[in-house]
Amino acid sequence: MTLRRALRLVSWLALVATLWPAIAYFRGTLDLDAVKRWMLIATVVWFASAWAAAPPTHQ
Amino acid sequence: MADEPPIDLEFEREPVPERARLGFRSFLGQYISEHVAGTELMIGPLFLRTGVTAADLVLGLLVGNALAVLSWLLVTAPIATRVRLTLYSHLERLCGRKLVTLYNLANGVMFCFLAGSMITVSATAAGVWTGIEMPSFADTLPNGAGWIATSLVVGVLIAVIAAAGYRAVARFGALAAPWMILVFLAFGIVGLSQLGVTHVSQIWEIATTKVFPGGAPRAGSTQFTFWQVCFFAWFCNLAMHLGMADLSVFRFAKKSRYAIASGAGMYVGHCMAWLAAAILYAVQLARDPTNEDVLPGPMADSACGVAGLVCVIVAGWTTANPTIYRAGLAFQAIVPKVSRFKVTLFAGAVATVAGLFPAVAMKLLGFVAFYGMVLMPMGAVIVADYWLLPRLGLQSWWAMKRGLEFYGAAGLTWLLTLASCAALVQWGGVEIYFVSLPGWVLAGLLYTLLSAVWQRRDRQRSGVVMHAASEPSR
Repeated sequence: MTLRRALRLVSWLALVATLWPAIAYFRGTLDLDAVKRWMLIATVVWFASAWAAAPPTHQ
Repeated sequence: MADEPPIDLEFEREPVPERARLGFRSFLGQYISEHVAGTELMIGPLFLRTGVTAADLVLGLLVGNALAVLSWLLVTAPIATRVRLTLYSHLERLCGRKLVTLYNLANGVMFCFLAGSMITVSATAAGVWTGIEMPSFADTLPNGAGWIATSLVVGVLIAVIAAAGYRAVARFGALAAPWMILVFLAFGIVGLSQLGVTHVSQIWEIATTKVFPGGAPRAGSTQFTFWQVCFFAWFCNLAMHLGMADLSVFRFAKKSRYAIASGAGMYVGHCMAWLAAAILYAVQLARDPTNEDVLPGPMADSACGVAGLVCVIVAGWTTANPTIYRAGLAFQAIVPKVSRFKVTLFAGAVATVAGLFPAVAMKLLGFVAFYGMVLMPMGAVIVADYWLLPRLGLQSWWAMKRGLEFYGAAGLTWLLTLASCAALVQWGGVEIYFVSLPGWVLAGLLYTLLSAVWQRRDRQRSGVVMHAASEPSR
């Protein structure tokens, strides 16, 4: 349960990190290459952590 | 145990019992994830091509989406939560098995073409990696071997996965939904910044001067005003609300008012996502006014890189998956002895072939309106059958009561409504975006009138065989 909670927290942070680069670019504090790089990292972290945190499915 | 009947977990043939009913959040999640689709990336740019102004677009989207939500809330859900049957089961009781088969065929074919446009969208993203020559806006046929190969690979993968692992992809789609919404939002934010917006207060000015400046439509597009946008937003899911396909969804709702959850899908997917995609297209045009191609892959790549490309592929894939699956279900109802795997694969193959032709995606606005128009009359038939007929002393679910396989009143209503709509579009000067509203009203009135004739004739010929359970719950 603790691990799942931690993974859930990571997945929420990854979601924040998905949008944050675009906002930083809008405010002029990040260049476009960095936006693309950070969004890719956030994407990988989101899918990995959200998948791992998802409750097991029963057939 | 062996003597017990199999449990119908999906309640395909019986009303959903109380224990299986779902809360508000289930519908919120479903509508948000289903309406942030790959095709949103086409629709936004296609709007921009119509020369619509920013004010008309924003107001049209706000009003049109509100009308769509009201349609679900006031028309679909009240019947769904009273009868609690799937659309097909409801229709079978109303108009008989053979007419439902025809409906399924039309529905299945439409689903295949819709899935085909999603395959096209995903292929434009895969094409960025493979470096193929992409189709232009004017292309109707596949423009080269590279495009054919990329679309085939994408389509076959989607089809096989839909046939073999639908549930896994559905879970993946639900997982990807929150991330996809944020990537769409990022498209808009990055795009606005690239158009010169440095402060929130400048957004409207840039929207009116650079994104949607208005003016004449671009070649191959028709002029849109508030009315076209409003009706398109209202009717792009016409088959689902006034067409009553979402009876199958809301039969699980504890309360009819849960249909308000559709608003989340509409305002996120059919407002924010369309605007974000349009902004990306505006950036492309600002960079190179001669590049009018509507290619979601390259547009997403230029704004958000690999994450953007993944978003386009995932958005196309996760929405093509249930669409192909539903097409397979519709076809399986026609050939029940063929396995679901095989019919889904067949549906996927048809969708893949449709996806090879860029015309389906490039003419998506017209196709979506056409799709709604074809299926809408049967929704009006259901509404009239449920609410109007008993008040006029006529019987609902006539096919079931008479043991009919084809209820002529419903069949003729469908045919005459479609013919009237086609005539209005072809010779009456009515645009396809508007024709479904009078068409829906006409279908309801025609069905009521024809039912009066049919039922009186049937009564005169022979007595009505009434079944104890042949009345819809009210």
